[in-house]
Amino acid sequence: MMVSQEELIREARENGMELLPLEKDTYELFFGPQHMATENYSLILKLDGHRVVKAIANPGFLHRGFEKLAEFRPWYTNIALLLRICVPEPDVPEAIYSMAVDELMGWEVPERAQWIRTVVLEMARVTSYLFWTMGLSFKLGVYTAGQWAAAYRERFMALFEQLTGARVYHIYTIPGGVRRDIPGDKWLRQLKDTVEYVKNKLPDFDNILFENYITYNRLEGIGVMDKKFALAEGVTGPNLRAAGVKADVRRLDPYLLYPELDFEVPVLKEGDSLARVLVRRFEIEQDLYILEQLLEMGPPDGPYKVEDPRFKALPRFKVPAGDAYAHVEATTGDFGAYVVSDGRNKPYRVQIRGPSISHGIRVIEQLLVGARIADVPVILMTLGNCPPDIDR
Amino acid sequence: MTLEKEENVVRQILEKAPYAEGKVRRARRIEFHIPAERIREFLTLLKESNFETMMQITAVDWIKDGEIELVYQMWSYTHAVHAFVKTRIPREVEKAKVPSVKDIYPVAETYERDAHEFYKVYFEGNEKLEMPWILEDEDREAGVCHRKDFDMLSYVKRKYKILDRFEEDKEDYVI
Amino acid sequence: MVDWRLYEPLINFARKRSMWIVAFCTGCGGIEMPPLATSRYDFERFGIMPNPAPRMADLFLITGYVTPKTLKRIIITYEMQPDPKYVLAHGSCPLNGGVYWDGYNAIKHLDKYLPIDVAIAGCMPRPEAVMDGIQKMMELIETGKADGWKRYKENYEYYKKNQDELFGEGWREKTARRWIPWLMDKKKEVREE
Repeated sequence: MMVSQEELIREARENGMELLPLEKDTYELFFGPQHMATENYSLILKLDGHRVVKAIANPGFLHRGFEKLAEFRPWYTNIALLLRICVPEPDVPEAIYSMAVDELMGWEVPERAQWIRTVVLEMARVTSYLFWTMGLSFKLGVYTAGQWAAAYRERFMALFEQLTGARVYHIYTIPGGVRRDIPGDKWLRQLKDTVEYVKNKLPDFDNILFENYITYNRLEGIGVMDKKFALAEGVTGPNLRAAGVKADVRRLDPYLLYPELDFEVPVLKEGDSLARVLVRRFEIEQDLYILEQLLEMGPPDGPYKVEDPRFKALPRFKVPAGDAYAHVEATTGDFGAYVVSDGRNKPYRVQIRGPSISHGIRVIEQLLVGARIADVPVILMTLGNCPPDIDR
Repeated sequence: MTLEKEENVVRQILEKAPYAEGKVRRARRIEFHIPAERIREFLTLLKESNFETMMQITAVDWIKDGEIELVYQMWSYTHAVHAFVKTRIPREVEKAKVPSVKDIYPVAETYERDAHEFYKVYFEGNEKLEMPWILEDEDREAGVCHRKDFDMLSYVKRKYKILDRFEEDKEDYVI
Repeated sequence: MVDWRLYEPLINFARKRSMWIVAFCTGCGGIEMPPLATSRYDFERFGIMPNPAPRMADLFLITGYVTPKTLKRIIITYEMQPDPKYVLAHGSCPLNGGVYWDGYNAIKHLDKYLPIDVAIAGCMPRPEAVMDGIQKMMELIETGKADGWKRYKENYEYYKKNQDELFGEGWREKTARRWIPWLMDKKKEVREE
């Protein structure tokens, strides 16, 4: 027996239930934090059938107030605090904070320390790309490639543990150099073998995931961004390179040892989700090639840390007044830090600019209009959204 | 190494904007100081001189001078130069108002929401400032912000009823 | 009439060997979940699997720090799970605040708001340490001592009082209705109440 809507509304009102006002034929869906695809980040969607009509981003689940907490801790203690901002690659916030404080102090970081910092940053990029591949394959349903990617990432985690002492939160790059030296030639040989091993396995990934009919069908023509839109909305990193702009911080604003290395910057024109996936696939190859070149160069001799008598009393370490900005190419985009000092033993203001603040809020709200529900996690993944960058 | 490219960029911009002061800090970093009323003109000028993206709007609270300094971080892909554009506005909540620049750089809407939430700077023309951003409603009503006169430790003690060993009026409760 | 208490050991053995996890990655420690789930430290051999629906899950992993905004969703999800249910807390942040001990947006003592069965130390704990915690959880289930869900039901007023003091009264309705004015398009017609 079919009951009409007016009767249902009248019955509900008689029973004391309250009806919330909504428009005709649309409904609200919390694409919320408890979901396998978003990492503690939520979107509020308004849907008509299975097409999205409007989307609102809802960040703030991981907000800890780093910028205020950093003002109460001395300069070197902040390394242990600030690296918890970006979880998939935790070496990047350490590196930008150390580079900004190095600029304020005005000392020259020794060459061995620069070599070690470059190797650590490149290893962090490769592990982050493998983690992203695992996430992509679990969301598309092609689970085999994800298991492989997680297993190969474990080899790099073992190398990190030998070098720095911890798997995930390293606390290794400090203003003035690095904390410890390389544990000998055996570590370099193991790194070389691991790089060679992962490079030989990349054709297997292509066969299963990147040249798969399923991937192409699901990703082609979805979530298109063109060049003007990408530049106006502040998009950086692989997303910008997939929209046709040749931009890489390692080439435009070189830091550490990148001026001496030879690598290509992959650029694609279409700007849809498939282009964003393929740009990241090409970059894994380039990062492994950079690691091979660095290992062939070998570490230069010398100290691994600046020798300064002020290091004996770290809580009273003072930095001269001024401000500095440092940025680094991370796998999600352009990660930057702005540090202001007024001459005391604690920072005056530290601001961290995470790359997801531009593509997690405005870009996703505009790209999702007209997409189906099944495409929402896929678009979110191909943009490379990392929620702790937004909330800090 | 020479700083010719950066000096050319500074000179071209200062020719068209006589109210500004600019200088070159080091390779690939330049700095401008402008008065707060001219911010829209200056940013339109920067957009025409190939500064395509705005990276962040930072608010620094100089409590001793009684002013808030807004630093607009601009990055140019064609020149490969990062520019700091600094202005100062008064610190009191009723007087800290600046015109919004979101029609010149659309991404500035998100940055202005951020600066409004944590430093209580009002950007005229941005309707999304009342929308909830990161802090929860009960924190916002209790006045949580990142200004220097907000006493964080006493707020934490009241909210979570813990940390009674630490005293709020000491500056160095960490060491 | 069958006396189900005779079958307790068998039921407890079955429960400890098939715990399903609610798929909610609440914090930092979520980055060590994929190594646990995939082939190196495989936990699927113990029968543990992530499941998207809270109605079909019994283990809740609180991986790391908890903010008040996340805690509201954790409580709603925890109450949606059927009994018996267990909670495992990773890291030092749920115990005493951890690195964010003086932050305004990190819960310092999680046991006041949600019952915890096993806590794992570390920042962040290694996958082997998490496996150790899971084995301790399996021991507690086998001997019948994992009673966080019973504590929640018996002392509900205590937990509810702490939650209401932190969030304010009537927080569930306020959270559900918060976004409606921003989603509605005022120009289109509205269905009348």
